Amino acid sequence: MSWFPEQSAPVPQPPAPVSGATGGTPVDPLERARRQLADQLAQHKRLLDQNVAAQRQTLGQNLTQRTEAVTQPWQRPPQQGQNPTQPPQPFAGQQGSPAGQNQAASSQAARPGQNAPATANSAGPTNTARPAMPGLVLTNVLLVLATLAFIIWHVVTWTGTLVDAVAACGDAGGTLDCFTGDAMRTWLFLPLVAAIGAFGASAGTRIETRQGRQRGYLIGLAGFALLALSISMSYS
Amino acid sequence: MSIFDPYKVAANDPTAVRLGRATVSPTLAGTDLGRIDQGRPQASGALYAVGFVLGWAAILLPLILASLVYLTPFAVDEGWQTPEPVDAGVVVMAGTIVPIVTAVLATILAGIGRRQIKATRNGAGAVWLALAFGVLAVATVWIGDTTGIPFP
Repeated sequence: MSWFPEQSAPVPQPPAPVSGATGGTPVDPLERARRQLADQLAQHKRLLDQNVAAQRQTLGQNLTQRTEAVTQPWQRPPQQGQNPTQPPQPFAGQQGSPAGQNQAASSQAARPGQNAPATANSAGPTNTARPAMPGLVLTNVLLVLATLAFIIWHVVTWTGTLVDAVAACGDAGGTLDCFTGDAMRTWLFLPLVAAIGAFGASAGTRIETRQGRQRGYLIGLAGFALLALSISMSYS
Repeated sequence: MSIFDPYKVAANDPTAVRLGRATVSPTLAGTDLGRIDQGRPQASGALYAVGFVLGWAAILLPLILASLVYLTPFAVDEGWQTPEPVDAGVVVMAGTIVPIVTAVLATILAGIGRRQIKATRNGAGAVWLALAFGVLAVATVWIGDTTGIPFP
C-alpha cells in the first residue's frame, strides 16, 4: 500500500498475467500454473503429431523406393508427384525459430544440385513414375486405329478380287497352288501378317512408352510401314 | 528414423543437431522418384512385338495348314489336281494332330518368351521366342513335305 492511492492497485500484481487475464482480476497462481502446463502439454502433443507424420512419410518413401526397386518399371504404383527433398511443412511455419529458418535455407541450398536433373528430365511440374510421352501415346492410338481401318478397308476392297482370282485359277485347271499362290499371298497372307505385325508393334510401343524411351517411335513407324507395304502390294 | 535415411526425423526434431541435407546421399530418399534410371535393364519393345507376332502365328499358322490339308480332298472332288494323293492316316496326322500340338507348344513357348521379355530378361525371352519359331518352322516344313502342300 503506497501513500498515493492511484499507484496502490498495480503494485501487488504479478507482472501482467499472460493468458486469460480477464478484466484485471488477479489470476490465481495455481490456475496460471495449470494453464502453462496445459500449454506445454499441447505443444508436446503437436510435436509428437509432427514426428508421427514425418515418420509415416519416411516409411512411405522407403516403401515406395523398395517397391520401385523390386517391381518392373510399369508395375510401380503411381507416386504422389512431389520431390521428397522438401522439408516437412508443419515445422517451417512454427514461430520462425532460427533452427527452422536454418533448415529451410539449407534445404533450399541443397535443392538445385539434387533436383536439376529431375527438372531437366521431366517435362511437367508433376514428377510421375510413368513418364508422360503424349506424342508416343498418340502415335500408338493412331497405329491401332489405322490397323483397324486397314482391316476393314482390306476386307471390303479386296475380297472380291481374291475370290475371283482363286476361282479363275481353279477354272484354269489349277492345283492346290491356287490356295497358296500369288493371289492368296498378296491379298490374304500378307495383310494378315501386316495387321498382326502392326498390333504387335503397338504392343511394343506401349512397353517403350511405359519405359519412357524414344525408340518407341521407331517401332510404331515399323507398324505403319508394314501397313503401307501391304497396301502397296495389294495395288501392284 | 530409418536405416535408409537416418537424418529424416532428426531434421524434424527441434532439439536435434542440424546436419543439413548435404549429408544425405542423393541415392537415398532424396532422389527424384519420377525419373527412370536408364541403367536399369529394360524390356525390349521390338522383341516384344516379335513375340506378339509369334504368339498369333502359333495359332493362325496351324489353322491355315490344317485347313489346307483338309481342303485337299475337296479340291480333288472339284476336279483340281492335288500334288499327290496321300493316305487318310497321313492326312489326319498332318491335318489334326501335328497342328494342334504345334499350336499348343508354340503358344506356350511364345508366351514364356513374352513373359521373360516383360520381366526385362531379353536374352532368355529371345531364346524362348526362337524355340517357338523353330517349332512352327519345323511343323510347317514337315506338313508341307508330307502332304505336298506348297505353303511356304
